[in-house]
Amino acid sequence: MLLSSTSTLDNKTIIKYHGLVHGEALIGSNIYKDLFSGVRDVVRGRTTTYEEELQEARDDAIKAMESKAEEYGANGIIGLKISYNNLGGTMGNTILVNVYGTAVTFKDKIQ
Amino acid sequence: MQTEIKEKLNSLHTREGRIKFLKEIACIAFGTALGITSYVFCLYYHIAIFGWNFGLVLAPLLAGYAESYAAKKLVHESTGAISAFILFIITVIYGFIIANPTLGFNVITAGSIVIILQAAFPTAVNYFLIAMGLGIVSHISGVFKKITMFFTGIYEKIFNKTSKLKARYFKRHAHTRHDFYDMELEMNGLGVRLFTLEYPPEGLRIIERKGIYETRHIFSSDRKEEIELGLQDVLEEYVLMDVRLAKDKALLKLIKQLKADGCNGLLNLDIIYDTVGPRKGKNNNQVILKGTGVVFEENDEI
Repeated sequence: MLLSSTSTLDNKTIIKYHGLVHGEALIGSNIYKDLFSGVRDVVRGRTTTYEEELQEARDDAIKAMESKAEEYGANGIIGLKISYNNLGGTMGNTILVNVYGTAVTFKDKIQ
Repeated sequence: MQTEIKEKLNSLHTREGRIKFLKEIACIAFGTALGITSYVFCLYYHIAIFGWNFGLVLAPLLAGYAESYAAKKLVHESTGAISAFILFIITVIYGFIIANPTLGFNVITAGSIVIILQAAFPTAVNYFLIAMGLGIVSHISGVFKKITMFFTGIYEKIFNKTSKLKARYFKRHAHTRHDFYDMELEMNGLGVRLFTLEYPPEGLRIIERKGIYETRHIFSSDRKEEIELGLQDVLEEYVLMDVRLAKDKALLKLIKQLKADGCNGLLNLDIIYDTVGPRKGKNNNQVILKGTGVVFEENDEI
């Protein structure tokens, strides 16, 4: 599945627009991870805990979106947008990863 | 308490009562004297840990123990370790006010105060430390709940059982969860072509641009029951469900508006989630959908 944030694809001809596809994933922040992130900051390390969680959530959201595009018979998603939103929450911060784009079927342009 | 005081005063009218009272005073005095002696001993020989004199703890404990021992031998009942309390006052006044008038507040002094209070009021302080202290830690971090849930999970796996509360929960919600997935909105089959693209797609000609369209839906995800039962996976699934339902509702409003104005397409669609502040103690969120409504020339091929 080809993913692009642009509106067009170079050297490709779009033959079908299937419409909007989207995917969402959540991560909840955790007091211990917060603490250890802080420790890593102090010792000049990278705060990888959240980065890894966010990366994982983003991958899950993209997978959900791709699976919807595949159902339409698409082989690409263009105009892709990714946003990260803090939803708050009873247990602390809940971060929503939201990905969406336009599912398309394309073929290579004949030179 | 009042009854006890009255009984004590009444007992002083008899000779036996007065003798017993004097014996009790002697026990308290004995405990206090021993406590003061131990405190002086510790001060004189600088028996200290990290600059904190050991007598601060030893003196009240020794006074209370000596008094109780003497009372048991002389009057065959407890006198309430009053000398421990007296020593607590003496050590605090001397150690923290007379000897160290400029003593700063740091971890050592705070720790000392806690230990001295513990020696003087063991029941109250232990209750505070164990019940309240652990309660606060547990409430903030949820660590004890997680431990309980961990052992519950092991129990369920070993004996292949689901807790009654969880079983009841799943039975009650089985249909709700099934129905949602059956009813999830097929957004691309509602007569309006939705694009996240800024420019018109290849092969589709725009006849008219109708302007900006924006709809929103405010929602809150109050999942107390799932949190209390420790159903982390279900909780995440339900919050996502709430998010998707809110988005679908906002999308339906948007499509309704577009169709009412004769649009058959939307360009540059944006989906924005935001927090709109708490209401009645719950967090509220909103989902905003916006884009440019257009009328495309009919073309079923693309």
